[in-house]
Amino acid sequence: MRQTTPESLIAALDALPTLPNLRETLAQALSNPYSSFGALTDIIGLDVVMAARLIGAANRPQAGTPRRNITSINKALRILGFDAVRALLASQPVISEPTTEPAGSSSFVVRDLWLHSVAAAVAARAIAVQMAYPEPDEYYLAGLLHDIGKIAMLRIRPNQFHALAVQAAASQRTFYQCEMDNGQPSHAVLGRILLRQWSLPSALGEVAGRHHTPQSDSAAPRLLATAHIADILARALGVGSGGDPFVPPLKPVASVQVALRPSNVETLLTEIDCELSRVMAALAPS
Amino acid sequence: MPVLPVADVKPGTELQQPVHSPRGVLLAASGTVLTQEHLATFVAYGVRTINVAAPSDKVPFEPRQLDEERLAAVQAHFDARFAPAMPLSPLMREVRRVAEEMYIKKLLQQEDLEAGADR
Repeated sequence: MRQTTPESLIAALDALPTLPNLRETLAQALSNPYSSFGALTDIIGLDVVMAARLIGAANRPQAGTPRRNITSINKALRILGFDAVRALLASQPVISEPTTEPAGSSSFVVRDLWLHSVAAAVAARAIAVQMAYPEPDEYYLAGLLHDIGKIAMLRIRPNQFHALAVQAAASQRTFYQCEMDNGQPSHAVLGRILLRQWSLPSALGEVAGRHHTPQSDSAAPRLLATAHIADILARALGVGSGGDPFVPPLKPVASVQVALRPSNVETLLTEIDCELSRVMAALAPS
Repeated sequence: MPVLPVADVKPGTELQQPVHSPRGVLLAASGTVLTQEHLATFVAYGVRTINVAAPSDKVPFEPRQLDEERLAAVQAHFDARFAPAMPLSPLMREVRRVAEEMYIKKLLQQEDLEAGADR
């Protein structure tokens, strides 16, 4: 019998689902002839799966052309055009409501994973702006996609996901700490493999794979460290859920890399909270 | 000094720190007494929060407080939330302090809204 590897599990995934109201909002925007790239960027920027598929499509290798490195939703839209988004949307399944699955096995709600991802995205971009890093949209995308492995796990191993959520709540440890104890492929491993198979730039795959264990030898250490801290800030604010309600430890290597000071924190968290108030209405259940 | 969302700042408030656009353009210097035009400019440039001085009439800013019992409940909630992150570095202590303050502020705002709806 052939052994099941994380790679084969991810390869067998037909697609990942998205939230129904986001799909509807995007469909409406696409049917409006006056919709701008900016408006579509804002909508796709709330959807982990659509954003990943769009960036993957924009970076897919094509014969005779150099490999691209597109790390912004807006740039990907301008390269591919609205028709490509329509095609992606047409093949995109939605999560059936209610969003707890399987019913009753844990209190985790799938929509909360989207909220957490958007909160981390907003936090990552706010850090990038405050630290005057170039290309803050790349940081947004890194925050948005950092936990995409959890969406993959929910699809291919829902029972494992919910068992981990229950274990984390009972033991007051993070979802990732419980994954490490259990020894099965973590969401970080699944996320890295998924983004590689979907042709996303390696820096984003590294964020998905190492956001709990940032290292200075990374190919994009600042992006990775920022995503690590953004995950922490999103959890500190209690927005959404990454499968558990806890704040993970801050790794010193990330702290050194980003060099946030305590005096930056109040402005940063207030900025993040204001931006989240603006965007979260779009993620509310319809 | 309070860091406030631009939408919550009234004309006549004094800036405690200069305001820059996200691209680094200086929009107003420290000490500026803000007008409605300043506030509209900040919004137009995408500035979301500013650092302001206490109100010009020198009345100290005293937010409503939670009673001791509920404050203890909030602190227990944050103790649990931050448990895996212990021990906290100075940066993380500040993250917890600010997040906890924001949580309490929202709790009180929600109560005020609900009290208003009941009246």
